[in-house]
Amino acid sequence: MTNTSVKRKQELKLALGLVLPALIIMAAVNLYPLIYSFVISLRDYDFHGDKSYPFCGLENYIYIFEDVRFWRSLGITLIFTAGAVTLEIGLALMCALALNRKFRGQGALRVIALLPWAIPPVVNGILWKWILNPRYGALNGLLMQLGVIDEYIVWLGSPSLAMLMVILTDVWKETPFIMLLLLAALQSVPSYLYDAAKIDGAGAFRTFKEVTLALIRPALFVALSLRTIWALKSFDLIYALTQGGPSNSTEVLGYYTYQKSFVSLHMGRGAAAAYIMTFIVLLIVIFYQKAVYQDVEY
Amino acid sequence: MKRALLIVLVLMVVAFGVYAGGTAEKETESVVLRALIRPDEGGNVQKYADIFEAETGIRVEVDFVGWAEIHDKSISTLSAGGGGYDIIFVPSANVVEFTSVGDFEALNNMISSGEKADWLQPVLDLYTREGDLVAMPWYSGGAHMVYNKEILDKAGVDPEKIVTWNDFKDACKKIKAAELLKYVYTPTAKYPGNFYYAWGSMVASSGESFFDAAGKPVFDKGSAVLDSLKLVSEGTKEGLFDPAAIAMDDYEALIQFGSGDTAFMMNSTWSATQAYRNADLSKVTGKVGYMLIPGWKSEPRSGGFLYAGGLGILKSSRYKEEAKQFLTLLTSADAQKHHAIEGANLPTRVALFEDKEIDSSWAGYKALTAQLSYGSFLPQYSWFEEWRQATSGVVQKTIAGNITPEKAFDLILENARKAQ
Repeated sequence: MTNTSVKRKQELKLALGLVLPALIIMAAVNLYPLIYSFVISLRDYDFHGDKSYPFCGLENYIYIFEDVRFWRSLGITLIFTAGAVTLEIGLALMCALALNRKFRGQGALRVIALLPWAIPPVVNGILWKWILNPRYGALNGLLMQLGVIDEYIVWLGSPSLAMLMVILTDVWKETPFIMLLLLAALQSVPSYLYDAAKIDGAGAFRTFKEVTLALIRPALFVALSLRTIWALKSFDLIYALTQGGPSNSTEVLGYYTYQKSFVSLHMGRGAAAAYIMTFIVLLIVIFYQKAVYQDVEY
Repeated sequence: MKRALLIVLVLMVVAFGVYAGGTAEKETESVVLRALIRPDEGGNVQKYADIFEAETGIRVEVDFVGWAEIHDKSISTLSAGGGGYDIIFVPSANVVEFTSVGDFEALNNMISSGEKADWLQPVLDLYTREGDLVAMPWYSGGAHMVYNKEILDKAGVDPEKIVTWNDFKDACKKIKAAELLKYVYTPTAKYPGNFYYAWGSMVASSGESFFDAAGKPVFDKGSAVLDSLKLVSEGTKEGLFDPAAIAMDDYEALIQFGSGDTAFMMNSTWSATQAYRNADLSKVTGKVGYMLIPGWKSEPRSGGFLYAGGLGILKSSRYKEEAKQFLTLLTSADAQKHHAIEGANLPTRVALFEDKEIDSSWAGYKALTAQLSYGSFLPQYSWFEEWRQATSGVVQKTIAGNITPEKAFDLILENARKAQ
């Protein structure tokens, strides 16, 4: 064995030794719960039962698939995700393009734009609960003063309006993060490519499509994937703002899972619902990877 | 290389040893009781924890968890075997849930059979599961009907004459006709929990039960469920009740009433008290009156839902006897009196309902305690929470006018059968 290979082996062992504690902790806090919750999903883990929690195979999964409320929650989740992510990506792209230009106060504006993202989700939910209050909410007050409405609107009172409000609340909070990602990507686009496009006679739209959009595609993929995953497993905002109401119209999958676990106290069904949700997220990310992600060369 | 690995391993072992040693040292030093309680009762708990420590040398460490999270935190803790807690707060709404998930110590010897008459019987019954007292009754409360004296005076409404819900509706019509308010009352329906202080209490005020002892629905034999649905539906259609009720919870209703924008409010003991005395939440302090919740018949008078707070000791606790000592102090007459005066919670010791000190410091105390003798607790079935969740959606649809009260009734009955 040569000296170099012995040294490499030693380095590898040292590296392994150094990351081992972190690996053990990660396994304890991530892997173990993941495996244990899967085991729970295969048992009749009902706190109202006799506490023997017998193995029941795929019964919990079958129950979830046969539950009308699950399918309704899935539909609501998809509407929420599609609405929120589309608006967030669109708005974030516009904001990033605007903030990518040089102007006075650009730095300050970037910091201010990031503020909503710094607010914890539950605080965001409570904040908006009061903004949307049907009798004392700031939104009604503002619209009334501007003459846009002549009667206060019960924003969270009807299913469609409540869903729209939940989406807008999510957009308000999450857009800055996407904007930050896209802004970073925009700043890495070499300026000579724009010069070349100009020389080639490309118009503004074509330059945007062929240069800007093409080059920020990997960042877009990351943003789209992350936001979709987060939106699909949304819980805190719904919990704080509507608790799934009115008439279960904002009951997303995350909230449905919570209901099964902490209201019905059937941890087995809750775990099964969580695993189904994870599988759906996985499918969508694979789809994104195939549809959106492409290596860019220039 | 091996030395580096060895160093990492030794460091880990030393760190663990220091931590474990430190913990062990602490535990041998003194007994520390750990309790999981909501912060609303923080002042009361802290005061008596300090007294307890001064008297016994036993420290009580309390994790205060907010109302919104304490249910889930308690369930997780109980399912994990107790999480090192000795004392757990047990709200009346969750007695079945908590005792199903966790193992609670029987506290039968804390209230002897001779002393039972000193305690509020319905609360004792509530906390007795299969013959064992699972939590010490700490405080009580319930739904109350509160009114704005000034508005009622101006409209010429005498609250003494409001005995039935029909009288209530007539009073609302009179106030509306006097053009004093846009809406007279808000039957809150945003969350399932609002069941307590709105539609649910309307039904309970009939004296009829939702379910029999075996959990079989019996409300289809009576008329209160349908009558209550009709009341919230028609009251909203006629412009007497605020349609925004569908998106308002108890706290928001308190703010609305406290702003003088409604004439009546059905709410918890705490909210009823805040409307009278908390100027930060209410602009109508001093103009607030209390009346018994109307019923569906003139006699016998009935009432809304009651609630209570209890404190249980976990079987996994290492210091059960010490925990019992602390609970004895915290539920003593002195501590309950302090809790009533400072925290606006009604006691669970019967003698305190006649206490002059509480009465003189708490305006409306007599009127509020009078309501307790008419009320009832939520049914205690494992599936009740699920049914209440589903029912809240149906009530929302009824208030919004999306379904008729008759259709709503059918759905509620169907939900009851499904939930079981």
